Amino acid sequence: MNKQTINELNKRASRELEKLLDLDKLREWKRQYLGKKGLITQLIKQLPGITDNKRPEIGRQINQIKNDLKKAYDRKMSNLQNQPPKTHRQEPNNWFDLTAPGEKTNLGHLHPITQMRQYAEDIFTRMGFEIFEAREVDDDYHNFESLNMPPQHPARDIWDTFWTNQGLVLITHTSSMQNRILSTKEPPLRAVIVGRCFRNEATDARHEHTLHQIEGLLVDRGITLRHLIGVFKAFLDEFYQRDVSIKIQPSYFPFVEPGIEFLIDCTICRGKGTMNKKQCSTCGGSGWIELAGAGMIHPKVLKEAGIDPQKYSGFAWGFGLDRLVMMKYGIEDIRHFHSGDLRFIRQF
Amino acid sequence: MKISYNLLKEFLPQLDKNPRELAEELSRKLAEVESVSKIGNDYILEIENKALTHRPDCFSHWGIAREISAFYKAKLESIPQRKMPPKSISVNKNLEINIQTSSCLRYIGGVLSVEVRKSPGWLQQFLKSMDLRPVNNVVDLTNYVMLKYGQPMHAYDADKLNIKNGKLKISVRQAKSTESLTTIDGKTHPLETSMMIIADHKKPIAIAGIMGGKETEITNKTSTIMLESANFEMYSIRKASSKLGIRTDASTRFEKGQDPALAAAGFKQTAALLKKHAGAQLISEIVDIYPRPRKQKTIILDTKRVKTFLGINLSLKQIVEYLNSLQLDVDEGSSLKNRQPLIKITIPTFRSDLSIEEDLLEEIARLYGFNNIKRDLPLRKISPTPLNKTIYFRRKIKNILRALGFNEIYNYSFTNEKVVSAAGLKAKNYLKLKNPLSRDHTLLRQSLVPGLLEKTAANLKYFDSFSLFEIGKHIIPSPTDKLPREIEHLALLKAAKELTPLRLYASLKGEIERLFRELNLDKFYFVPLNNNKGYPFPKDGRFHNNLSQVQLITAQNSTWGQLGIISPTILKNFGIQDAAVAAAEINLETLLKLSRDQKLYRPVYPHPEVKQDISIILNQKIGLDKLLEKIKESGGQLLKEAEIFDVFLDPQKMKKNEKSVAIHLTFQSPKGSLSHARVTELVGRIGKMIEKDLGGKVRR
Repeated sequence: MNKQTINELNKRASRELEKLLDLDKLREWKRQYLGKKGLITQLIKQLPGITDNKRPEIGRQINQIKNDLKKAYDRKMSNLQNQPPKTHRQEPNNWFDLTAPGEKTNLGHLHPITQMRQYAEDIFTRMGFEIFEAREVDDDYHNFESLNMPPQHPARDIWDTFWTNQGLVLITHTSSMQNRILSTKEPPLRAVIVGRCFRNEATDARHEHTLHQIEGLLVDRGITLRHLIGVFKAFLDEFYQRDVSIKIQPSYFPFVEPGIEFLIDCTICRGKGTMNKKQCSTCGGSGWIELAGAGMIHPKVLKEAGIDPQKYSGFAWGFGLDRLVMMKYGIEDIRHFHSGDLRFIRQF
Repeated sequence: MKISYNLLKEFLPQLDKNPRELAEELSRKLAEVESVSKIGNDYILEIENKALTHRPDCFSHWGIAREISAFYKAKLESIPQRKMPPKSISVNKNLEINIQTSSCLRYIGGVLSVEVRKSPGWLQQFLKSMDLRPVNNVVDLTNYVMLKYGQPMHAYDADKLNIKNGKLKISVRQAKSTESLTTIDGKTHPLETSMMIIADHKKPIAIAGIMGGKETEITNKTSTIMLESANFEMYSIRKASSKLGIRTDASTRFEKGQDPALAAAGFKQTAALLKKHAGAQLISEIVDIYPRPRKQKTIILDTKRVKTFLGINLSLKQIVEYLNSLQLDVDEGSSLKNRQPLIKITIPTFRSDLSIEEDLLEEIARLYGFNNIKRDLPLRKISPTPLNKTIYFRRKIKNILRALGFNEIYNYSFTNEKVVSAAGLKAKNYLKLKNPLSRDHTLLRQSLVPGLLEKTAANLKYFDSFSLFEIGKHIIPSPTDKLPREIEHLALLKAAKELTPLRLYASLKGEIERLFRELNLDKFYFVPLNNNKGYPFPKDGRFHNNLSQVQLITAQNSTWGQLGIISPTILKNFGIQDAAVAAAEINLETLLKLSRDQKLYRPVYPHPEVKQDISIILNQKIGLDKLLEKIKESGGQLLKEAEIFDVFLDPQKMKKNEKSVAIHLTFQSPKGSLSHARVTELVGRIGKMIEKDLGGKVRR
């Protein structure tokens, strides 16, 4: 053992230590040099064998090296421990543009009418209405007769009706469920009916033969026209999340008396009638949009369902979902709804 | 309906509202005025008819003027007293009118000599502004009277009517099924006994209340007319009009129920105008047959209901004022004396729409102004609203499908034979429309898949792969009930240009399984079909004889769905090229019945899991869902999971009808670590079951 071999061992150990990149190898290095049987430890063990006067000097030298290597090891250890894990080490040539768009996902889309329907249903549910659904094909009795429209009643012409060969009706309105609900539920009752309705008219950008309607029905003691207006306005305010202005016009439906129609301030031009100095195309410049037919339930309709109109009164309203969706998004052609075109559906 | 502002002013000389103000007030209190347009020195108001369906009295200027007078409490001129044409001394036609049907409520007739010529300019202009074509003075005046007062009039060329024994015998009767009539529009209509006609002693001369005959129409050569002012029962007119497909200004008015009292005024006004503009002279007696004169009704109104039904606070005096303004007589004498809120109201015959108390309440609300009514919210007991479970689950399904990447499609409920058969179905026993809009929409659908295939073809132009779903009803005629059964279904479809049909099938099946698991279905099987009846899936057998791609989804021994690959033949029928399509259709009602809202929780144990794989050889006919079920049964509580990870054929080592299946088994005990010996014992038990119950072999 001489100074030179000690220095060489020191250099080798330092060189190897420097190259080490992971903790396992580092521990292995420590075993090899500083462990119980390590090379440095062995040198120390050999010290008593040195007999000449160089022993103290060599002893100091080895101790010095041992301490230095120990410190270098600790430094390395702490370096490696603070180093990012393998999964997070960046390859030098693997440049990534953080501003590049993320990867595509695959989420489907629900039909906008489904979404609008759920939105409206939820508001009515919160207001205490039970939700019902309408049949698509029904009989004359439920679509017309039970609603105070005997055969040949002129009001039947209000709706262009599809008939089946058997004389059944493709429902023209969700009111087809009124008699069923009124005759099976005891007042006080609050019901909302949702359904697919049909009108025998040619389709174009603004007309469809297949429509979706939401109808409301409330019967209790002491219900007045005030309540009808109050409840419908409360719904509209929640629906549009603003204080909606309403206007009422007289209207006629044989199953209500009085019969009215609700108009709201145009959601597009906010009732001004103009947009960008042009006539608003949604409301036709009037500032108002016809939204729903409504009225106090006709006593004959109540009686037909076994409810005593002397004791109870109630109201009903109905409106179309399709037009609401069109207004909400500015959809230009009602025929998109049944087109099944994914270029349309995927936008919602 | 068009209304002339100038003509209105004739009835309301003191009216100081301009046409737009008037239009707004009409919209607020009667019916919507859709537009106001200036024509010459007049303004034409277009009023929406639908809101007036119950108001026959408003189908005239006179009627609208009467309403306006109520809105503004403005003075209304009465119908002018006009002089009838002089009675000719020289000629006297012997007119006899005979009503033979209860559907004719009144008939007034009279024969007049006339000079037919063009109408004066003002009349022609007026008719044009009402969208009517001027013809000659006689026809134009009958139209004028109808528009002004609401009474439809008709004039016949009396020289063309058949005379019997010197008598002009006019009858109103039901048509005979052998009769027909060519109407003024030149069309010949075979008549039915349900239709009412006007006839001379030989044949029909008009379809009552709807349209006159061509043969007896007024021409330039006409010198004698028979003028008719009649009234017919509304339902009878509507029925005939819709059967014949003819709607005229007359039928529109009659089918709403005109006031028979108006017939007399109509006759008088027309005859007087004919005297002035056509030099008319009466050459017969005026015959007026009115078998059962309409009586005025009375309605008792409980005035408290103005508050309790409308929510409006009005004094009795105000209520009476509103009613009086509409020309309704109120007998309030007794009520005031007894401090009784009941009042008796006499309804004039022209207000046939007023028959119950609520009708009067509407009149009060309308005149008070619907927009002046305060809002209020009804009170309700705090109790939860019942949940509609169908809607709840349907929403859940839609949300799961959306998360799985499916896009929702709405197709029409209509379909047609061509599309149905293109999808390999037979349109047998489908509900048919009596009056379809087009040839594409003649039937009501009984499968959602044909519609989805149509949309697939359209979307493949823009997209290489996509997933679609629709929830809709099958409409199935029921032999027992009158109403068809409407059974909601869920249809799923996947299309891809780059995938093999089998991959697509596997992916769709995986998504369906995922849906079912999310809905916490207890048990379901996919059972291969053994025949070609797997509509709408392979018809030509090309895909489903080797493996089991065509499957029925069954549970509790009932079939409630189908899944499979759409055959190339069907794809071709829909114009789908270079793409594979897999589809499924599931009965939603059954799915909802099998669904549970509640997840099944299993405790999470800290003890280690032991995994072991087994590989077995089985007959190809044994379904893998069946296999898994049996493994789980025999593995018992300690078998946590069994998952198939490989299925293949190995012709060198196996028989032709065999398949090899490899399964990961995961064991765990709730109590502690499982010993190797215990796991070996469990795997051995499963192996024995496979050999004994399924006739398989465990490979070692």
